[in-house]
Amino acid sequence: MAGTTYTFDVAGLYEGLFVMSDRQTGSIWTHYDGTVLQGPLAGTGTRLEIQPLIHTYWSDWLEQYPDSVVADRVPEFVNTYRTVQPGRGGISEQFRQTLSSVDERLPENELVIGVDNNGAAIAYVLADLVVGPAAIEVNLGGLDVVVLADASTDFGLAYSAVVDDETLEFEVVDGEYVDATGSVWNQAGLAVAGPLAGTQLQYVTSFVTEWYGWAAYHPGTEIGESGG
Amino acid sequence: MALFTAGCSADQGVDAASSATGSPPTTSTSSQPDSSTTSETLVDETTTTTRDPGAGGAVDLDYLVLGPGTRFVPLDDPVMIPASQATWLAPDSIVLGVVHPSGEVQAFAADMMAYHHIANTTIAGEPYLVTY
Repeated sequence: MAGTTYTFDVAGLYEGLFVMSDRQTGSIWTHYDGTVLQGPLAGTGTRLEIQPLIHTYWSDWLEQYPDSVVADRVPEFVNTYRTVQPGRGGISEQFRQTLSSVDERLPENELVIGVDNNGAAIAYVLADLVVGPAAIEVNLGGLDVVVLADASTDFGLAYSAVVDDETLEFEVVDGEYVDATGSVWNQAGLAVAGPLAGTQLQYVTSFVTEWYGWAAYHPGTEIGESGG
Repeated sequence: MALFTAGCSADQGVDAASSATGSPPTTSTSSQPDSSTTSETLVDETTTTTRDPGAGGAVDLDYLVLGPGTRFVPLDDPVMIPASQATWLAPDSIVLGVVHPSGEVQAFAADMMAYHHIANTTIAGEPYLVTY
């Protein structure tokens, strides 16, 4: 299959979130779902394939991946870096003006785990989850999904719970994500111990984000019950 | 925040995508075709305008282009250093972590990405795009 490598810049704001332009064609893309909004690639079906990105605390990441490398700071921009406090703050009028509607069911900056299975969308409020690892099972758009979360480190990603045509049932045992076979899973959706060790769960589009952007791009989104 | 493979294929119109102006030959990857692309619409409920990302120039794209003074500079080909050298990171600093199927991992500090917003990077030899 033909493929083209694109590189991206920030182009502007759309529905409260930045959109990107690629340097090869100048097309405008969302950074939420990797689709083309405008430009030479619009209407061609071109899109970026989304992959899981683990949003968590540095200490938690190092515990899992002690040999990780990390992107170094760029000296000329160090004075622009600020400690981020996701979930707090409010949005500026400049951002608000690009929103076609505001979903007032939650505060605009509420930190959520957004999950989208082919247009069926649900959001879980991180602050409403139990502190520590949690495994939330939900049927979303006909698919049995497990949301692996950890409200203590602002982590959350969703995967298909179906392996070999069977739906796995998940729980948290001693701080670890465990299924009914006794297999242990990590945040990347990989079984690291037990009978299913080495099995990779299929990622379902999901990430930690603020409510206003999630709601703007997913107007029909449900708000999930935390399940305690 | 999201992560994408930046080696991109189209589920239709592949020729149009790959012949776009000046596109370099691919170094990567076989992205999976995604049949949901053209059926996905963003519905503006307040005006009942349907915004279809696949509709090309017909879209009334109400995006606001940032002025030159506020333009964010993406992180291109970031230099990766061992975790032990990233002494500016605190235990509760938010990071964005990538786990490549090959086992290669990379982390990006949210404090940096909140400015750059975009990282054009390479993981296990494949082009990736990290956004925040």
